[in-house]
Amino acid sequence: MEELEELYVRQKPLKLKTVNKATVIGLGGIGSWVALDLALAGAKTLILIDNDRIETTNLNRTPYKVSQTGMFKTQAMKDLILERRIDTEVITFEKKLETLTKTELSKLKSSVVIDTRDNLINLDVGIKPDYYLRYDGLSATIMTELPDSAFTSGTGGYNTVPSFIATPQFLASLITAIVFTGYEFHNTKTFTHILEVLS
Amino acid sequence: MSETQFHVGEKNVTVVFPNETLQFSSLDLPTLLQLAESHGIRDFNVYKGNVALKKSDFPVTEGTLTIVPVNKAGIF
Repeated sequence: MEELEELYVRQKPLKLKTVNKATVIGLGGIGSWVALDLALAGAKTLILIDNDRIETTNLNRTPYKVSQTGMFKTQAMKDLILERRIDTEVITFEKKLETLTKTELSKLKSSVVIDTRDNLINLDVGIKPDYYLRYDGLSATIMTELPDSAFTSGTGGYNTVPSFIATPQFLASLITAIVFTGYEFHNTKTFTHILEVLS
Repeated sequence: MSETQFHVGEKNVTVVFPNETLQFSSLDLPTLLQLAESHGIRDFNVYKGNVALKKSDFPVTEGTLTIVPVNKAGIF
């Protein structure tokens, strides 16, 4: 696998962390880029959790291909990753986090867990995500705890809001940098507008 | 009439939504979530004065609660 060795030659001087296992919960706007970025950066094993299928309206902000419309997001992402990193182990669960069995949940252990779900509901499933990423239009939040004071009405089902590729990519870049550099982040950082980083 | 009888059924909880104010004798969490949904509000915070309430603070039996919608990023 000489080519794969060469692949990271220009990344090695950065002395980044080795990421053996990462879990991405939700493969929508944010999670799709997070999963792809982590794989491209060299994560060895990725666990992808999402019960949803790709719809045309997802394509404005995700790396999925038009030809993948109708596929499970997990399977489509697995294909995208393996096209680029054939040595990455990709484990997929086409179900909601809260419906994973104990055996399935045990696979998440020792992994960096990144929650990119669509709502602010804190699920008590025995696995505590390390990071939560959320966005709305050009607003973005990265946090290591979901706020106790946030409520979500009804079933917490999908909520359609304006979406744009730049915001989830922004969050994916942030989390990839945090995970691969080992940057200590135990906080909540909100960007009312992502271009606040320029001010 | 005794004081206890006077308080039966009294609406001591005021809930202020952006477009409507409602009153209840007490308010539990499932009712609050249903009310928010019926007002078209999905993600929100609840304030009693300046204090953001937590789920564990429910049921609430007195005071004025203000519902403040947040966006999907959790931002006001």
